[in-house]
Amino acid sequence: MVRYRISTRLIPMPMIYAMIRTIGELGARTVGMVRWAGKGAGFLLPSFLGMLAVLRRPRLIIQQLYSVGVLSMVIIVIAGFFVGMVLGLQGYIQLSAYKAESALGLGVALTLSRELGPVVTALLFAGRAGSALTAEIGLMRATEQLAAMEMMAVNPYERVIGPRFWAGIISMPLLAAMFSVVGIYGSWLVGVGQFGIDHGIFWSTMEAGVDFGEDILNGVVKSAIFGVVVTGIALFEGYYAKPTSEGVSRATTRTVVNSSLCILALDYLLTSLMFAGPA
Amino acid sequence: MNARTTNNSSAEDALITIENLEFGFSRELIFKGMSLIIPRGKVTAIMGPSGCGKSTLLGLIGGRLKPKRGSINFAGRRVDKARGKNLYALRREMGMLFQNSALLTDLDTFENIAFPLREQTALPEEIIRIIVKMKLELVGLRGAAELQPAELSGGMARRVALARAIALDPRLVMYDEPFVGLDPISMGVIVKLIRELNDALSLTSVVVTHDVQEGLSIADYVYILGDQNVLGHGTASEIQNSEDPMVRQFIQGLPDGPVPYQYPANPYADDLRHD
Ligand SMILES: Nc1ncnc2c1ncn2[C@@H]1O[C@H](COP(=O)(O)OP(=O)(O)OP(=O)(O)O)[C@@H](O)[C@H]1O
Ligand SMILES: [Mg+2]
Repeated sequence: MVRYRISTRLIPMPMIYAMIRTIGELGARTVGMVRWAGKGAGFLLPSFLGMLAVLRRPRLIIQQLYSVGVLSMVIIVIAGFFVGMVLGLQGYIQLSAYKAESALGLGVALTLSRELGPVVTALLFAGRAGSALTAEIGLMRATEQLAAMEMMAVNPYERVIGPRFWAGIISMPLLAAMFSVVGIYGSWLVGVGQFGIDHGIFWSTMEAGVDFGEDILNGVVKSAIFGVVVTGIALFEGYYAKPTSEGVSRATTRTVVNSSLCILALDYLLTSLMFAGPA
Repeated sequence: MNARTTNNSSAEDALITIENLEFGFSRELIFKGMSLIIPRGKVTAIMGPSGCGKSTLLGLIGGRLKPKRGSINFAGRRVDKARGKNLYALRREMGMLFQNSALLTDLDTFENIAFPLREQTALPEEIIRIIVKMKLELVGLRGAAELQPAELSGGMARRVALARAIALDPRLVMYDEPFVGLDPISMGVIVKLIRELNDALSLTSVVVTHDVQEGLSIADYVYILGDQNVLGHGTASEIQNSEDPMVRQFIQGLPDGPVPYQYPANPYADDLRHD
């Protein structure tokens, strides 16, 4: 009793309330996160089984490769070209100050294959294909198409989720490679075409300096991981979207925001693992 | 008038037997100790006010929802215990018409009906084509095979969904609100179809509806749900002549009676004062 009185005198009541509220909110948020993680695990396992099962039906995967991958090509090519031109321009301005403009090809190729190719492609992919996947699946949920499939004894994880997951994972490295290649040509156009760097030097420094395992392969691994993350988030958000127009619209927004943040955070992690590890 | 004590159909005639069912999405129960029997080969109507759990009941029969307590028997097998392959095997014997048709929007009419055949059987393309045409003919839409779902009217979409539901020749077809939003002619077509398909293909049909008139006109047997349980059941004429006040209130559409019109709430005056 006595102790209680002392403590309330030392710590004013509103502060105690605020502390209790904070602890309560923390608890609620933790419970929310645990529930979200549980839902995620409950989604990933059947998705994985669905992916294995759908391997027997490559036609379904090819169909999705078209709508997920091929339809994203235009935006990737255009964006890659402009990003490459900007890199060429900025690179030339900086490098020429040190009379090192011959290294432009190498610099651009490394930047694109290691970082910008995978990252910008994944960001564009999240906006172009990820949002479309979420909206499509969310609407399938809202219009009871998923329930109808289940009632026709068709597993939606196998028929709907599996092929789309594969398509996302396969498309992403290909799109990132396309982005990098087009970007290199963009920088070539600026460096060689506009500023008159020697054509042969532009390509030969690149050839000599870019390592297949260190640069290209790491970039491919990166973008494959981004493919898993972006497609996974998009499918998850669609599958668990609230079956209303507002629910689908929110889920679509969450897909773009969450996968963009995940890509950027993951990129730092992967870069430090791949390029900053013990030499 | 309690499903637990008496029922006109004997157990052998039952395709579906539900016993002591308890279910709720949250702590609040939608069904509490409910029992009912769906007789084989008949059209059974399940009626009740909006939100009483009619769609939920179909979800339970199809095994998409699991009861908290009680059993659901379909042709001698427990739907509520079935999982994975066994559950899918059970569902292959059921067809379901969803309230908003639920046609797959990325496939045309023909492919929608072919969908369960392609997924569930290894039939050659030639046979699938014949079966789809036959099912389309049954619902009178053979000419619409090439149309996309978005090009179908609501009534047509429902008939396509019906053709899809019977593509695999199920033993049971469940209809969720098949009459909602149809003009009188389309409504007549659907009513006729449900009856004819039931008799011609010797199906068992469960029709969920809150349309009393259509429900009573189409059904051999009627269940009225409400208040977490079966309010009353019997043949259509038994229901029509029922003395039970709750049943009478529902079929005559009286706004208030033993079944309250109001969703449970605080006293009205309190509500107005505080908000
Ligand atoms: N997925 C869900 N999650 C939580 N509650 C739900 C869900 N689906 C339905 N409910 C609730 O369960 C109750 C029964 O819903 P149900 O859809 O079975 O009603 P219904 O009898 O089919 O009504 P209607 O005639 O309007 O279609 C409703 O009160 C509804 O709010
Ligand atoms: Mg309903």
